Parts: sequence; structure tokens; C-alpha cells
Amino acid sequence: MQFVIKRVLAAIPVVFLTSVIIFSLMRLLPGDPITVMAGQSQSDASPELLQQLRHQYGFDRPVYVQYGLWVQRALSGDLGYSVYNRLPVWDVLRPRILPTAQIGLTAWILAILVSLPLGAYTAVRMNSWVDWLGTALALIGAAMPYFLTGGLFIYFVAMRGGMLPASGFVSPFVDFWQSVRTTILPALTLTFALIAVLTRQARSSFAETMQLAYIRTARAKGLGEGAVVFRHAAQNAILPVVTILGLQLGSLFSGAVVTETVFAVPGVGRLLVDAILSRDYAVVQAVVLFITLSVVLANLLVDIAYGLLDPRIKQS
Amino acid sequence: MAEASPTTLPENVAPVIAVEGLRTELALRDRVLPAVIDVSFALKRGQTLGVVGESGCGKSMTALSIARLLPPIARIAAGRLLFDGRDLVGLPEPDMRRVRGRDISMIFQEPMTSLNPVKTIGYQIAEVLMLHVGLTRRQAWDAAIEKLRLVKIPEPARRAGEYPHQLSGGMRQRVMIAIALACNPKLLLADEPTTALDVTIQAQIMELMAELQESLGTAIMLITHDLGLVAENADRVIVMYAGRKVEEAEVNELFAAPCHPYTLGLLGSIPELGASLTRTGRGRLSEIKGSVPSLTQLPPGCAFAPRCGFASEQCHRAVPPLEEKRPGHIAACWHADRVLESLS
Ligand SMILES: Nc1ncnc2c1ncn2[C@@H]1O[C@H](COP(=O)(O)OP(=O)(O)OP(=O)(O)O)[C@@H](O)[C@H]1O
Ligand code: SF4
Ligand SMILES: [Mg+2]
Repeated sequence: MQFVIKRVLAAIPVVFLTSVIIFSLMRLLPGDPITVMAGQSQSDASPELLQQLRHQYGFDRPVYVQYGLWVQRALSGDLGYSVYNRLPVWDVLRPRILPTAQIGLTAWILAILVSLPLGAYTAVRMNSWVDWLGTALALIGAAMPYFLTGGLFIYFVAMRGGMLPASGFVSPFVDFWQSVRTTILPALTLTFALIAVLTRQARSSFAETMQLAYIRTARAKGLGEGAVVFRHAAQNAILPVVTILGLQLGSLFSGAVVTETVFAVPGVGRLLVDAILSRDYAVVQAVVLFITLSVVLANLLVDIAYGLLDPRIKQS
Repeated sequence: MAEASPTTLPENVAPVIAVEGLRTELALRDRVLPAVIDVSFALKRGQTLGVVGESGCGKSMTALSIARLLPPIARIAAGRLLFDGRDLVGLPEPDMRRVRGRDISMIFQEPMTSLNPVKTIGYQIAEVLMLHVGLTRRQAWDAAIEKLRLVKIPEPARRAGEYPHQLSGGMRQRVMIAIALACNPKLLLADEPTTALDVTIQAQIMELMAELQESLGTAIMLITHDLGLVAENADRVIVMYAGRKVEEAEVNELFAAPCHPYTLGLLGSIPELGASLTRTGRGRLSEIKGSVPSLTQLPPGCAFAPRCGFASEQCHRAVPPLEEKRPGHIAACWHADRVLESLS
């Protein structure tokens, strides 16, 4: 418990820094929400009117004052108002969470289910054809950008094959099977790169573990190769992979930005892109805060899982 | 099969293990190297065989061959491993697994890393009992606590729930012994079991092994660099050099009348070989001038010839055969008589 509190406290500067950086970067972009809106509506709003709007939203105040106000409100649970959507930010963000979470978690779990066994197998059967295939796939997976994988899926599976929808997202509470169908392609696109990273990590970790003295002890006990790998190597070998799993959650979000655009999924990643383009400061801030908190939380969970898997951690 | 080299077997009692003409080879990228060459010996119930020799002479490879636990690059190329009336060479792997951990156990040098860090020590002992004796999880756990008591670990019931990092090196080696002896094996291969431990702990561990050997009748192959350990614990000794057994005798006989210059060098009593050969206090292998020839460039004759003070032209030409030089004492040296003479 003490450990959890310590980790939460350690996360505060991370969250603070990210918000400062994003806040400053956004203000460095040319234009503000008012100019963007005026440009889009093509109305000939007078400069006086625009200035008045800016004043109304507080965009004419010094940046540090704006930041201070944002922090003050965010701490009391108020994420602000989306100028572009004319809605409170939370109402804009909330419906976007489910698609991103559903697709991201599916990709994450798929990656674990594929890469751990594949990594273990290729480590034990080094230089077998599965190993070569796995290495090749990992290299391709690591080298292929999301938009290419996604584009290929859309072309071959959705358009030529007509098997799955190429875009959109349906909530599982509305239509469960349709929801599954809309999840598959973006999740596969995301998971491909993740599998590449995790399989390589799992393979090297298993290969290293299999050389250790206690593996020889396990064999000397008369255990079969399966028991040696699953009972004695696995728990030790997945420890480094677990760490990577937490870190990779961040890259899942950056992947979501691309896949949600490619597959037209109304998720958090897509929202971020739109909000940046429309200079919707409050939404950008909220989305980044949301992502940062998710990653911090995931890494906290990973640390707890690590502690459960490795008895050496508990005591220290 | 090549004709096995002679071995001195005490009459009447069938040995627990008889190694005959064992040859183990390493398959490297570009060539095959022998790590164990034509090694033969036998071990009776309750007997301890000391195996000594400098680093790299093939001691571990011999033990790993017997347990059929060789690394993937190594394989048994020739010879027989007669155990319990069966030849372990060529025994199918599933059958071999029933032998390992039950009839033949191994203890390794590294007590710090030989136990799985994420499993309790109780589990690691219980595991062999579940596997070979067919105990249930509960029974095996209770039996594991008994085994911990047997190897004199205080508070065994509490210790069983602990992890290896919570134990000292000596304690861990006791746990390794508990695992190895859990199923009352007929043969224990102890590969430098005390090398990593400090002196007082070493003595305790050896005493413990001797006690358990007494009560279980286990035959022990004790691999070590420590001649003091051999003198105190072994019944017979074999000396290995560059993959070959070069001498074998009862322990007192070997110390009293070494017939091979290499053994003489190990005992540190050979003036011709230079000043560094003073016998060390605890009888550790003393330094011998030069080093073990690499397996890649074994000389055509006696492998020890480049370092040997007794070497003659014949030694460089032909490998000396293993012959009985004194009653029950065999050695592979062309000039054993001169070596013996030099002693008096
Ligand atoms: N994995 C390996 N790859 C290449 N050569 C090896 C390997 N394992 C052992 N050898 C070689 O096999 C020979 C015999 O090694 P072995 O481990 O049996 O020696 P040892 O007598 O046990 O030495 P030590 O006292 O250092 O344990 C050595 O020359 C060693 O270099
Ligand atoms: S055979 Fe010759 S070289 Fe070899 S140990 Fe004997 S005397 Fe030395
Ligand atoms: Mg060794």
C-alpha cells in the first residue's frame, strides 16, 4: 500500500510536466480556436467581434494565467468548455473513451496471447522454421507503419474480401456482434506492431532464462521440457516483458491516433487530431491528461503485477 | 565399440554405475572436439569417487554425460553407461527422465543460482517427490519439510515457505542436497558442491553429505579442485587430464604413491617442475607450469608431455596406455617407474 502511495506521488510531476509542455506547444501553434472557427464558417465576422469572443473565453490573457486557471479548474474536476463543439469538454471526451479502450485493450491482450507463447517457442526451438518465421514477422511488424498495415487490411479484408467493415465503430451495448466486427481490423493493425516488439523481448528473455543454472536443476530433477519451460522458465522470463507491456501502452495511444483516423473510429486518438486542428485548447489538454493518467495507471498496475510475480521485490 | 580402457573394480559387488569407454564430443561450428576421451570407471553402493583435475579437463562433461544433461552442442559419441543393468546411452528420453532426480541426482557448484528465485524452497523440494514418488501436493509439502529437517535447516516448516534469496549460500546448498537426495538416489553426481562456499560451511556440507550417504547408501561422484576434500571424503580417486583419465587408485594409495607426473604436480611435490609448486596448506591443486592444452591442439602423444619434467621422445610420439602400475592402481604414463623412484 505504501508502495502504491509512493508511486502515485511520483506520478504527479510527470502529469504536471506533460500538461505544461502540451499547454505551451498548443499556444505556439499559429491561430487560436476563434480564428479557426471564423475561417471555417466563412462569415465576415468583424475583428472586434472576434476580439470580444477571445476575451469571453479568456484567450487574450497571458498564457501563465490561462494555465493557472486551467489547473485550478481541472483540480476541481472541471475540464473546461470545448469552444469548437460548444459542449463541456467532459461531454466531448466521455463517448470517445469506449472505442479507444475496447480496441486498445483487444490489441494489448491479443499481443500478450500471441507474443508470449511465440517468444517462448522460438527461444526453445531456436533456428527452427517457426523461429525464422517469427523473426521475419517481428521485423516486418516493427518496420510497417500503422497506416500501411491498416491500409492493407482495409484493401484486402474489407474491400476485396468484403468480410469486415472498413470504418466506423459500434458500441457493444448497441449491437454486440457488429461491435466485434468493427473492432477486429483496427485492433489487428495496432497489435501487429506490439506483437513484433513483445515477441522479440519474450524470445530474448526466454533464451536468456533457459541458460540459467536453475533450469539445469529443473532438468536434473527429471522434469520434462514442457514443465521446465512453463513451471520454471516462464515466470522468470516474462518479468522483463511485463515491464515492456506497461511502457507500450503509451505507444498504443500514439498508434490509436493513426488507426482511428484510418478506420474512422470516433475514439480519443481521433478526437486529439481534430482538437489540435481546430485549436480546441481545452479538449487537447483534457485528452493529453487522460492519456498521461492512463499510462501512469497502467505502469502502476504493471509494477504491482511485477511484485506479485517476483518474490524478491516484496521484501525490499 | 572401441575397447574400453581398464578399470580397477573391487570384486564381488556389482557397481551402481559402470562407465565404459565414454567419449563425449563437442560439435563446434567447424569441427568436432573430444571433451571426454575413453573414460572408464565404476562406483559401488555407498562409495565416494573423487574426480580431480584442472579446469577444463572434462570433469563436468563426464558427470553431465552420465546424467544425460549435456548441452545441445555436446553428445556422447561412444561408450556405455551401465546403470542398474541398463545402458543409459541410447535410453529414450522419457525413460531417462524417470532416472534423473530419482536414481541419479546432481548438485552443482552455484548455490546462488541453482534454485529458482520465484518458487518457494518447499515447492522446489516437493516437486521431485510429486514427480517421482507420486505424492499429492499436501503430502509432498510435508515430506519436503522433513527433508529440510534432514539437511539440518532450522525451523524447516517456516523455511519451506521462503524463497531462495532469503537463504544464505550454505543454506541453499543444503536445499540443493535435500532436492538431490529427496528420492534416495543410488548415485549422486556432486559437481564442485562446496567450491563457492567458505571453509567452515564447506566442512559442514561435506559432513552432511557423508552422513546422508551413510544412511542412504548413495554412491557419490565428488568432482572437485580441492585435494584436501578428496583426501577426507573419497574412497577412490580418478585424476583427469585433457579429457582422459590418467590415474586411478584408492585415495591413500594415490596420495602415497602417485604414478603420474601430473598427479605428482597436483600434489605439489615435484621439484623438477619449478618453484611455484609448494604444497598449499589445504591441499588445493597447486600450480603446474604451463596450462591445459586446448582441445583444438592436443599433442599427438601424451597430452601432458609439453609440461612434463619426465617427458621423453616416446612421450611426444605415442599416447601412453592405462596400465596397472601397482596393485589396484592404474596410470597412463610411459615413465611411471621413474616417477615412483623420484618419490623415494
Ligand atoms: N558450452 C561449451 N562450448 C564449448 N566448449 C565447451 C562447452 N562446455 C564445455 N566446453 C569445453 O569442454 C571441456 C571440458 O569442460 P568441463 O566443463 O567438463 O571441464 P571441467 O573439468 O568441469 O572444468 P571446471 O573445473 O572448470 O569445471 C573444456 O575444454 C571446455 O572448454
Ligand atoms: S607419458 Fe611421458 S609426458 Fe606423459 S606424463 Fe608420463 S612421462 Fe610425462
Ligand atoms: Mg566443471
